[in-house]
Amino acid sequence: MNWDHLKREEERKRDAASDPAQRWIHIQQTITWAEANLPPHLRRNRPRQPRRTSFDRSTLESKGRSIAPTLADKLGDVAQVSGLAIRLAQASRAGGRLPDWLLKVAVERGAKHYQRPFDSTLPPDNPTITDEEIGVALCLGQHPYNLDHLRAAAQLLSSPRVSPKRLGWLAVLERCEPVMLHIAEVAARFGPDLEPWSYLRGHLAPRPVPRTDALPHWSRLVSHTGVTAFGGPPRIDWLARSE
Amino acid sequence: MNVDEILSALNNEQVDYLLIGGMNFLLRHLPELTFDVDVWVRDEAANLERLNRALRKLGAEWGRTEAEWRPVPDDWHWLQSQGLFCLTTKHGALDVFRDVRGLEGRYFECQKRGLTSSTGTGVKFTGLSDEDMLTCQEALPAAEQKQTRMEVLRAAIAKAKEQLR
Repeated sequence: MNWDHLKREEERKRDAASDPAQRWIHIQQTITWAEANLPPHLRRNRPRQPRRTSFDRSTLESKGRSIAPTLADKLGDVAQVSGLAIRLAQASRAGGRLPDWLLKVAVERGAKHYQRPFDSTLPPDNPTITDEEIGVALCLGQHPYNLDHLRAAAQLLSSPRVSPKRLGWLAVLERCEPVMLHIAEVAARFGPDLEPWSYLRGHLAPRPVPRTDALPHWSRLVSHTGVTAFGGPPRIDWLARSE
Repeated sequence: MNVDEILSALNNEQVDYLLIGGMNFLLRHLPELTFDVDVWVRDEAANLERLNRALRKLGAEWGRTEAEWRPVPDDWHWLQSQGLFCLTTKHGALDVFRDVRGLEGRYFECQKRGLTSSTGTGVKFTGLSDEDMLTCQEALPAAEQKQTRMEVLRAAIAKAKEQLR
């Protein structure tokens, strides 16, 4: 028996002997595993960098202040000067680079979907800062608008280690209710009992903002897996924190 | 399929193996549709014995015919009956090669060139080098060669040479 014939015969035999349902489960698991093991820049649901024209608002600076739109601008809301941001900027020693530092720390703490190279000069994580504080700080209206910050917050906070009560309290204090409730509503579609989102839906009073189209579409908060050559149904999973 | 579980079982039993095929390519280069783990094992009695222990822990099944398909036996000598085996395990499909076309009899040489890496969850493995993966592809009949894989491998090899200069 030559090599090719042996290989074909072995594969045929295995296909005939194996349970198709089990094989289907294994194929689904393989795709999920492969997706998780790909370098972040090759994942199907990878974070995309916003396209930049050679001359756009975000490249302009005025009197030292970036006029890139903030999240609050995008929501038609008024940004408050956040006490949390001031405190975290000091505690982390990140200063003006707080948004970058927050994203880096969120990734290190488990928002692995947003892994990317970070500036090595950013200060290290500070364990005295809680997950709830990092998550809420990523959603502050005063930061320049960056969808990945909101997405990373969603993944970081999707953990049983997060206190729903403390998160809700911080969200009100820092005026992040629109973002938190938006994430909570999306989470309900994929895991009605998923905490802390279930708690927030039940306890956080809505604070309507003029626009919500800048908030992440549901498809940006989940992992799409299971698209196969066999035409099976795609599997969509809520992006929970990697514990 | 949980590839980590398969690799861990081989590692735990100290099986001398190289990860080859689509999974090795996927972990190092590009996503590719692949539904089994291919390993090339050192073809020596003691290693095959360790391999058999790992296979039993993985719940591996194989048979000479589909009618004889059953859990692999305690006695490892069945692994000497042919050059390759396509098995099922409780963690997915596993292909075991005692030799690889295009690289026949060069296990040690390939192992030295192999690249040790780890999966996303930290399971260590040694995979066939890009040069050897390309050699395997080139040894296949033209209709079975994977052109995209070959192009990517050639580009990666050229890039690596460029960086050495």
